[in-house]
Amino acid sequence: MSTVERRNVWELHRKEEWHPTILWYAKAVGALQAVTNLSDPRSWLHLANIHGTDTPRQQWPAGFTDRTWNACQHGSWYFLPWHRIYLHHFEKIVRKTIVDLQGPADWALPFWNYDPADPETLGLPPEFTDRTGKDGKPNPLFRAGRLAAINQGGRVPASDVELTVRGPNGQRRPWTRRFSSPSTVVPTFGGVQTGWEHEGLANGQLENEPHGMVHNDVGGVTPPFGLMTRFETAAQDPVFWMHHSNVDRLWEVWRNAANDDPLPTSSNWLGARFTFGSGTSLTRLTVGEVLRTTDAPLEYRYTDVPVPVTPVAGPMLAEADDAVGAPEAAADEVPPELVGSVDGVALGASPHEVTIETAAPQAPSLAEAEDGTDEAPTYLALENVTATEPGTHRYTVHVALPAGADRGDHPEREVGRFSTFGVVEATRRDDEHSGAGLTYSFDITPVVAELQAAGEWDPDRLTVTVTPDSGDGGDLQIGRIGVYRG
Amino acid sequence: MTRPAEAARLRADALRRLRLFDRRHPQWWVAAVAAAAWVAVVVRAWTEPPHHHGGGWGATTASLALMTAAMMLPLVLASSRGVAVSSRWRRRHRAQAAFLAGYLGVWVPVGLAVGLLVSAGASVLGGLVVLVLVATGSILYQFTLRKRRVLRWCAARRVPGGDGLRADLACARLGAGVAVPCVSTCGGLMAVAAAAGHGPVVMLALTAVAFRERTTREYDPRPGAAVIAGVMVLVVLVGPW
Repeated sequence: MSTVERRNVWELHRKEEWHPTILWYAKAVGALQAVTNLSDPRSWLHLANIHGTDTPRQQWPAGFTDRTWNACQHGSWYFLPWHRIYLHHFEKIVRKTIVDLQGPADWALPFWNYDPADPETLGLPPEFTDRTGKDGKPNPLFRAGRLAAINQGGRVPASDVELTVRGPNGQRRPWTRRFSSPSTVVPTFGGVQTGWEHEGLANGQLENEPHGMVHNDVGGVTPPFGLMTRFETAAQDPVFWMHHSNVDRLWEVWRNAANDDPLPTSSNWLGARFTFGSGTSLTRLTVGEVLRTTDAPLEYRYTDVPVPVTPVAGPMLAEADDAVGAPEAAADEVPPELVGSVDGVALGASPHEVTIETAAPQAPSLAEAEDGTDEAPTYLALENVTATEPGTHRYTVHVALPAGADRGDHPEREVGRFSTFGVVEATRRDDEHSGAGLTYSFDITPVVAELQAAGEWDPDRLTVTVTPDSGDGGDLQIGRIGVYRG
Repeated sequence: MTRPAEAARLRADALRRLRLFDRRHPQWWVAAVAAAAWVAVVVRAWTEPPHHHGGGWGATTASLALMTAAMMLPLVLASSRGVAVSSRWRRRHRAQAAFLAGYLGVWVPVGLAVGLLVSAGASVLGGLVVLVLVATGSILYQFTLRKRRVLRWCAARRVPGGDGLRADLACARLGAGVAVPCVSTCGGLMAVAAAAGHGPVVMLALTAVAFRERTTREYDPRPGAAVIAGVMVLVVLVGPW
């Protein structure tokens, strides 16, 4: 098979309503939904259950292993490669189904590029929100289990899908060059180093936003939750696959923006093997086998995204991270030092402010020891975050807001935001989860530097303001807010 | 550079490397305690006759604490490090000590109870029968959902809160919180070790099983079951029945 091209679903729609690529996707989804035997790896529900299912393990079909379903990897450095293999497995089955239906053999999964510069794309194409399909029958791409506004032509907030996180003065802060770290405190692009991790420990930047934001924006965060809101139901929505196609595309964008290709070289990552399906619908690949999308077995590329062969310099990555060093050295990297913390913060519908008393670092520093300077980064970590009903899509975190000030007047004090997607799952204590919650971390070094430059930095205390952006605030709890020096 | 200056520079460099090692691996002394416990187990096996449980309650408790430390401390090195690096720098070792106090505070009484139950069972049914029963039960348990579930719980990563005594108590609670599911995952292995006479080879094999289960990416019950079966066969063949 030659390399197929994954294309922007909105461009397809604008070219032709019910463009053949979308129409064949709908036909295939309908055909896979008609497969009711859950042991059949082509069944729509089987495919979705690989990501997550509410079906108790005891009721799974005979012959299934513990990893046949409930296998999605989140809050982990496996998040991106696992979903890449999952999409490849799904795409193979859909393509085979399309061919069986006399469709094109070069069909490829489209991606949903929610582009703030093109506001219409922040909503779903009508082919996914119309209750009836082109043939007048029920539309296989429609799901009632979405936030009502989304199915009525609503859009995800532009701020949720910015390619990079926001930084001081409201500008977008670059993605970090660091793909992974053994520490949950250090922000990474791809997630914290873990073993098998269905529940998640600490999201990478891409997993947090736009990935998590869009999940919540499509599914909603108040009961009854939409399909996209929960690990156990997300992949039942045909939009899930286009959303993750875009997340996978953004991974390629990040790699192109890197001066080199700072992916882990650890055998724990490259050698991790994931298995999907069975029989003639079996996919069994390692992370190391899926890092170049145009090579077999993947053989796809994204429209307008160069395959990262010859790395080029890009403005999207943080300059400060250039000193990070080889990712494989991370396993032995010096853990950041806790210099201040506040325990047990319960969030509600209104902004919550805490003051953390901080101390000077006491641990020996590599930089300090070798050249007499200490340029260690400063991290803010929201640790063991739990909730049974988050009640809001996202929280925004500010530091050092002046007393009584409106946070809207101080975008320069915003250090980041976090999506509540995945928190509920990480809070449960069951077969797949330990209940310890998620950790969100932010590199606040630039904000600290600006405060120091302005003479407004207080080395003894730091106020942190966590604000729900919408909703009623739910029951989200933060086990501890810690300030760390790297 | 003069010789004294060179020596001072070397000393300073060595000290810096030691401090950095301590920062990277604050759990070093937990590993050292576990290693020392293993040495003591081997020495004791070398110098005492098999199935020697003399010396009264104090000696029995000390012996079981030693075996618990040898078998269980290697399993919580990562958790111990996690507690250290999420504590204030000056508290990193004290936090680990509190964590281990909580952990062993659960495990040692459990180990003692397991030892007493196995001894009582052996006096009624005979050591061989007890070993076969315990090993069979432990093998079957390997394949249960409960085993996989509690392994997830053992891996829970929580940070300690507070400072001073409150932080000590928080760390101890974290240790006890890790020990409870740990008892559930490894209690069967501990019972097999007790029924098999706590020989160092048996303990090492069972510790390796527990360590592998904690560190591999996906839980597979078969290697552990095979090792338990092998231990049972080995002890049945060479044991003093």
